[in-house]
Amino acid sequence: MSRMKPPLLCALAVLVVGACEGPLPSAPGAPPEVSGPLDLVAPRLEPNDLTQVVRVGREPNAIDEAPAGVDVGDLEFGDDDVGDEYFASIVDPHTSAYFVPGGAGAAGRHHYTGNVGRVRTTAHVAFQDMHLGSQSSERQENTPFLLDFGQLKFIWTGADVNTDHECGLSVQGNSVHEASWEFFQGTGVSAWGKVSQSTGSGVVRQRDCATRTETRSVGGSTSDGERYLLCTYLITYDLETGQIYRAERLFCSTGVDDDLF
Amino acid sequence: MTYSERIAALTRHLLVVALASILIAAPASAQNRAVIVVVPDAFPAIDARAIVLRERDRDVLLLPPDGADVDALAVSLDALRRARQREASPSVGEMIPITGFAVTAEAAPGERARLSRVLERLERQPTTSIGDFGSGRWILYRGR
Repeated sequence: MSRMKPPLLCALAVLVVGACEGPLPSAPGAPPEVSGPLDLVAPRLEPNDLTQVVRVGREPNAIDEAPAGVDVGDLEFGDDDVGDEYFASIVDPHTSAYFVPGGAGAAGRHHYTGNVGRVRTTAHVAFQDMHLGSQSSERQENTPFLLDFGQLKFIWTGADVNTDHECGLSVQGNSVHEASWEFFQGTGVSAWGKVSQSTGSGVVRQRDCATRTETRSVGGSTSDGERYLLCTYLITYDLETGQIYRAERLFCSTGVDDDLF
Repeated sequence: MTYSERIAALTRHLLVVALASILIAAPASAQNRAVIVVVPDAFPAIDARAIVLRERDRDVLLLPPDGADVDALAVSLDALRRARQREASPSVGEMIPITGFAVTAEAAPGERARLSRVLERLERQPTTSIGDFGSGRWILYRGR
């Protein structure tokens, strides 16, 4: 048995060394040392792919849903509201910004007449007043033209950002509110009486980061690798065609250090 | 050598070969995936300071031509580090646009100088085709 050890060890050493050879240039997919063409595939990203879009048909007598704390009661058409009460109109448009556990965002809402209502809201996130990123959300609701009867309806949308950061962030929102009449609801064909109005929220802030240590250790680690608060999207796509599978909402995080390089 | 000793020796050899085969054939782990830094002549029409692209067996850091600086490279590496923690080797393409960042702690001494040397090497590379992103320069990132 002792005579078998050296050849066995040599064979094992050769095979293991061969398997564990450094990543370059033998790693799968590693390009050659000399710069040559790269065959990168670009995801086919459209302008609205990063917007959370919802388009729904609405029953004429549907009960209006509203964010918590928003009263969807009877409203009177006021002097500051846009439109004409006999055609499409926008009543009480509003944008608010907020922080919630694990996130931040902005909500846009308005009441309207017309059989198509639309609201697009964008939440802008900043750290110590330095812009980090924006997330948009859009909702469109349409009622069958012949069944609308000029009811006052309510629409809202929320643009949400995920974050695990607990200090120093601020969020502000702005919205575009629209209402119109359309024979072929939701298609933009034969639309008339369209009205539009923009609103913005104030800036809502988290508490200030008390110390540099707190800023660095918010993610749970005090290692010196934790250097950046990043805001990113995550988009998955087909590697052959570039077709987008899914776009996650904006995520702002300090992350943790793990020395993988 | 007896018959049983020969069988035992053969079995040991076969086990070593099988183990080595598994190691060699294993999919690229996070630590042996190639990292490529690319500066395209025309950056994608996304509001981003940098973009991380993840393919089946390599990771690509796209830096804007008018913003290919140490900060952009450093945050790209940081974003890639976090992505690898989440998913060592994705089976689909991943695009991670970095829309903004804030420095919350100073970099380790010498790291900025090291990343600056990487960018200097990149700047010296010839312009070449980079697939769907048109033309640009690229370089293999060798880490620490």
